Amino acid sequence: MIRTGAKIGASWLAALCAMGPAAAQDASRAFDQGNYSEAAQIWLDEADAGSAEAALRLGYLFDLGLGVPADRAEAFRYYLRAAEAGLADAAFNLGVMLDSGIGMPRDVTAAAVWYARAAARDHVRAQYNLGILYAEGNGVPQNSDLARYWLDRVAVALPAATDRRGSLPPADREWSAPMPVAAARVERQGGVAAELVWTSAAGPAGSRFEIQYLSLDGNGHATGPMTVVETEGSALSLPLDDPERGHLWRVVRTDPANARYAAGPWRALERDARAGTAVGGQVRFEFDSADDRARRVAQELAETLGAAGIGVAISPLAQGPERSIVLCSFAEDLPRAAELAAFVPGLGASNVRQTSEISAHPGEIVVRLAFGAGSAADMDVERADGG
Amino acid sequence: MRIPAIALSLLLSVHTAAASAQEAEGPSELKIFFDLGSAEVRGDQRDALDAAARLFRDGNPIVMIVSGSADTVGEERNNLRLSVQRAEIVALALVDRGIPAARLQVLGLGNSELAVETDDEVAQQENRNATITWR
Repeated sequence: MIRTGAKIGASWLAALCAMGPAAAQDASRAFDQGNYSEAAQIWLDEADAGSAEAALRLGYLFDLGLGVPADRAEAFRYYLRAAEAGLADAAFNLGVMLDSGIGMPRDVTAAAVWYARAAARDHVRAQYNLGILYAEGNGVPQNSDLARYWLDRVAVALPAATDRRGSLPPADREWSAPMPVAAARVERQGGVAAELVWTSAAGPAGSRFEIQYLSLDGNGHATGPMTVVETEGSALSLPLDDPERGHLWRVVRTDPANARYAAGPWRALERDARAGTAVGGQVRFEFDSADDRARRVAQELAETLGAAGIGVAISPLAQGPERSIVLCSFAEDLPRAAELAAFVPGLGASNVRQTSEISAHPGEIVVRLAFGAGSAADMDVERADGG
Repeated sequence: MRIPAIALSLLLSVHTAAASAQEAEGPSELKIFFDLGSAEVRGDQRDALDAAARLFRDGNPIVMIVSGSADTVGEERNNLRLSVQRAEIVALALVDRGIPAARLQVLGLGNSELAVETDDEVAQQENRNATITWR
């Protein structure tokens, strides 16, 4: 996926340099003057060279039969190309075609995914339509919370959203994990963004979604701590700080009031092998910044955990913990915390505790290390013995 | 926002072109029905408006045509005015749903193209409508 994107990006740039902005202007002028065949020819050349904008315009022409024979299936293919490159207008039009069975067999579930991708990019009508689908439970689970979320976002722009919002049925609440349904990398504002879409029935009142993602190197090793974004919606466009890396993501429903969570599966953002067998989740090491042995133990464990595709955060503290212990915020994480404790020198399953005192994320385990003064010397001796 | 009613002669050509361009896929029109003598959109017609908004793709120059009709109860001149009001109110409801006003063509048919042919002074629900088509 990355490689394809990079190739398209490069060839698009080359095409732009070759043609200059004049070609795009000519096409628009020809279009405005009703010379649709001329506009179509320019946009065909540009689309072949990788221009997503030109693909979108060709979608319009084939949709309406302007300058080319009307061909809704062909329009759909051009919209798809533009949408995959991240153009929200194209994603919205795909949603409409799938929603109404124009150019493609009717498929409201697929329509909801494309509406959601456009909604993640703040496309107002996509947000409205997605809100209606959630209100009706059409192509998505009925979810009045998500309907309200999306309709609220467009209430200012679209007065009909306020009416619709006022007549939502009460949410039929259940405890279940959200399902990831789409993930793609797209160009955005000179960078790369992940467009993530999930779906869910309404959860307990006050529960939220937490999007977690991890960066992976070419071997599927986690390269840093987990990034966490909270939302009440069902789609996000997240800028990627490290687009050259692979990514693993999941959506978690959190219920802070009851200290529980329900997690969807970890999924690879990129369709290549980088995610491998990565486990996901995160371990945070906390220790006194003066405790050298704790630091070394943390670094060694971090390497092993990272290689397994588990995110690692290392947090030296000015005032370290008094004793070593393994902690988590959620009962769901106790089994993994116990497994992890078995690998920490001097700890075992009995040194594991679930506590609300730390605000760990779902899937995050906090390892507090305290080896005390003089431990650095012990470590050196052990190393010398090991030769 | 006010949407101008466009002259009948201009729109008739558009209307004909739209009919020929329509393909046999998806619904080709949607109707919003009205009470006798009224141009208010009834609550039970809201889903039809949402359905129409959901069919409208973004992108110049996709056009949605809203044509209002009236049944034969009352004077013909009043029915023409009522049919324009019906088309305008439906167009406004579509604008409230994000359809750009510039992409809407509004047309009052009065009693000229009745869905169900009737004598004068016949109350007929099918004829009290605003029909939404697109091209």
